[in-house]
Amino acid sequence: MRRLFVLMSFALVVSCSGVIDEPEETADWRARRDRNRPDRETDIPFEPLSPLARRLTRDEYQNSLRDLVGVALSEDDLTIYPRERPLEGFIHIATSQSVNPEHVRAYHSLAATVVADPGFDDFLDAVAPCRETTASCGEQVAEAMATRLFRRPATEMETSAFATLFVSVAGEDTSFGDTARAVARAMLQSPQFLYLIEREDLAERVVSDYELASRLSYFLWASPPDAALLDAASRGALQTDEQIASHVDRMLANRARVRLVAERYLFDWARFEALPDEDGLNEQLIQSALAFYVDAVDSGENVLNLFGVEKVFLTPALAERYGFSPGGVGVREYPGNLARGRGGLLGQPGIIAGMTNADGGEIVARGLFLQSQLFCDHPPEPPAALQSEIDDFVAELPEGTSDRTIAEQRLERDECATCHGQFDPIAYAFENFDHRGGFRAEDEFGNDLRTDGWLPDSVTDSGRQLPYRDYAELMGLLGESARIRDCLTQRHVEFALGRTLAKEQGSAVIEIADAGRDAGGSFVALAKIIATHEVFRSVGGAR
Amino acid sequence: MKVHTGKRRLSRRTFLRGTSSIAIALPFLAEMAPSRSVAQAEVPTRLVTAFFGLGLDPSWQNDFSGPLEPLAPFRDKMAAFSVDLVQGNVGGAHCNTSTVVFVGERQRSVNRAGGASIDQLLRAEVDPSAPTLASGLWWRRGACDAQALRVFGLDGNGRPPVKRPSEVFDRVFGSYRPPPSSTEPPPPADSPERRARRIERSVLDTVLGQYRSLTGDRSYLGAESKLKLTQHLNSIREIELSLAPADDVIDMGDPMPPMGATCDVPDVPRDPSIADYDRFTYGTGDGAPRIDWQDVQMVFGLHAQLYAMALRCDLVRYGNLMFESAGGHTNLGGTYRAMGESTDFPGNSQHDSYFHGNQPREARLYQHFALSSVAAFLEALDDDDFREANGATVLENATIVLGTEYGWNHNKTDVFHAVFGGGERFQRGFFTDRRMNGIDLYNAILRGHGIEAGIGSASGIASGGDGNVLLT
Repeated sequence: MRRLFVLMSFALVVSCSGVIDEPEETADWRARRDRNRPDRETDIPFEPLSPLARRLTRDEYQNSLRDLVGVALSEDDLTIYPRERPLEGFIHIATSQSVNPEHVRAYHSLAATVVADPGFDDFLDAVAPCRETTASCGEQVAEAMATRLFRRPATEMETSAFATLFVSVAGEDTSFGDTARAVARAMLQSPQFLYLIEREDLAERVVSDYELASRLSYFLWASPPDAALLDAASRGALQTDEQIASHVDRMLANRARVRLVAERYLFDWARFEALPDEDGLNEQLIQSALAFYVDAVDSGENVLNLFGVEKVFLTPALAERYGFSPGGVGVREYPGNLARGRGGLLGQPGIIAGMTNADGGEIVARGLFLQSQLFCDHPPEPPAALQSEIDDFVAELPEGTSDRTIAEQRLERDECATCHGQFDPIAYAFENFDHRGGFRAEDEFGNDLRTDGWLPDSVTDSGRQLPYRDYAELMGLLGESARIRDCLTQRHVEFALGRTLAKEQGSAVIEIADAGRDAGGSFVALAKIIATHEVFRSVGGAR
Repeated sequence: MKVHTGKRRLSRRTFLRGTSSIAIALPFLAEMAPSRSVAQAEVPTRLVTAFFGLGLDPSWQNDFSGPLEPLAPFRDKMAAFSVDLVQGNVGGAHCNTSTVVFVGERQRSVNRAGGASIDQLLRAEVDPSAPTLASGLWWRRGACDAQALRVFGLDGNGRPPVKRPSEVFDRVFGSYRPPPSSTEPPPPADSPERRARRIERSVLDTVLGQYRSLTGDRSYLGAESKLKLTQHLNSIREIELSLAPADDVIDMGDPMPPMGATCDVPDVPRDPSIADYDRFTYGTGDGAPRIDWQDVQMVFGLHAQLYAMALRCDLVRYGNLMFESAGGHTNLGGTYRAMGESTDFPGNSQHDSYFHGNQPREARLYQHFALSSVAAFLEALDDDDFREANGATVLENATIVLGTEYGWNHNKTDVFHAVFGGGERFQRGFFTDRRMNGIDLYNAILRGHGIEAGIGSASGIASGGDGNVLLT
């Protein structure tokens, strides 16, 4: 059954993503519900993801310069770097990354900034095996710098191209330092530095040791491989599960590093990038939610089931706003109380703010978020014509009608219930929260708020609708859901690889989810399982 | 901004020499040879597609009283169709039909078409070395590259359109650079400034070489990765252009060999500053400024004039001119009046306002605006004062296929297309009541040129009707 759910999630993502208003989509949606039964289970053989060049994100770019060249670009320097958006879940998903002239101009300008930094001289001292402007020295410098900046041994063609540049620049009577700076500027704008590139002209295969070193380091550190990883790659010592796991342990032994990777994951998962700062509290909301997740990761909690963790993390200002007695400074832990609707991952004010930040009303926004981020499910967008009917129907309701009443009336209309029935009822439990995560007993019109609802049969493991009375009961149901475990595993794998998964990777998700559960579900355990799994270590053949 | 539209019947060589007071590059020696157009045929075969984003309401596709009004002057040279493009099923809205417009086959992936666009299919048959130009005014919407791609090669990879009129000029008419604003003589070759420029050029040449190596035929990358790097490569070229000193020849990469012996060379356009060409997207929520429709029309007008000149001069035979990418997404402002109505374009994305906002009246006015912009291109091609060797205008001789990506409200049915010119190959009139798939029309257009392309067979798309009604 779980396999079926995982496969279905992929089917829905693939077939519904962005498709607006195809009548057949609605019909297909019903058909998929019918298929959501044990006797329809199917197996799809595992296939590795096809290769695709991935551009470094802003953070990865900054970290790469810091670690490879020793130059730390400031935030001021990076203001020219274009804003990045998590269009397919995470900002580094290769299929959704764009390249536009703003990026290219930023790379051009920042390359000049990097080589002008005093730190570059130290880099040059460390890398350059000679310091003359001769052709032979140029070749040595080109090879050494390319090997460092490209995160694997330079090829002969690369060495030759950059050595030619060296000679050309040296012909302008430049010093060795200026000549090497020009060569470095070229390398820093080259695809081998700016992109994670793997060979795409081979048959389906296990990635090379150098490719795996980069996969690991950008997954866990958002940074290039360190000397130990590159050394292991050069010795062919990234082949076995034990070898890889030992590097994951080493790389995550530093708690600061673990926190960074955990924060990167949650920031995109919770959709913080697009959160509008209407009350000046965004940073506090986001930092508080990140603190909850980091604490869970630090404590070795099961990151696939954080729904029942009775903790809330808040700044003093947020604590006061949310009815706690502020204590100390900065983000601090406060006791949660699920029975009172506070606690668990989904009860952190920042998470609620993130899930409510969308059009269509709070119930719809939250339901869609939960359906996507917990169940890996996406309904099609409503047709524009239907949207207009919905608007008309809502307009006919008496002023002051509660969101819950509107939602219930919407479910009485077949054309609406087909999709809204899949996600609206999941969100009812959050009715006691306003759009910034504050508690409320009644809505703006003075209506009492109800928090009872149900998990629709389309998302439960049993295929049966599961009612709940309040937030705490919903959290209990979510914590028991294998489908959620699979979905959150899928999100972590996508985060690790910078790729969205397809149905051909569904079996891998299940294997990792099961292994993660058996290992206790800690972030570190999950990372190790992902890093040693075939889905992470293999790549599809040429297309 | 000005575009010369007068009739300076100069050879290109004479024009270049005659302007010796300003520095002009002569990048292609081949242009001094007799033109192929003269040597081969009096009237060359040409097929150019023209695209406008966001579709056209089917209820206004069969007469000239609505949004089609700007096309009325060309009614005797036009055949109109409503086709289905239902085969597109990869990628989000607008994206999933983008790769099907002018192609027909179901796409291979979000950014890769299932085959070549019709202009490239014809080019491959008639003259694979003939020059192609993809240009126009557009910004991308979201993550789908294909929304801005209309020219696809035989491998399904797209060719991004050139945005800046000055770059179109560079690519078509040569590496002409505007004179330096200062009257000071250029610094000597061994000056620090000139040396720094040369070094910078060497650096960028090396960078370009790396991208070319990874996007070329012998690259170890696949098509999608190559497409990404190609976009990167094109942006680096823009930087390279901005660095070029007045007396340097610019390596534009893949230059289109000039083919015409004589033509009206437009003055080099200066890119109007009203448009932020470098923005990735230009819609609601992107922080992009409003841009008035008059300014959009002015910039597109430059593109239209340049494209028309390129066809007249036989410097381009295939390609696409784009007015807004699929899912048109520009913060359009200004009061627009047409069809006895008026509206204030709201200064945010027309896609979001009119389509998601379901405002058919305003959408109709927008469509009128889009088609009036396209009409400027047709008008330039139909210039009575410029007749080709057979006495017909360029519009009458060349095949121009106009199309969009949707019908109305994101429907993949009733997608407006029109075929202009084409010599004596095609019928005229409205055929919008005939049901057919895009493949039926595209196959008929190519059949009119004597080619059985079999579009649709590669991805198993069934015919939806008889496209041969187009043929004479």
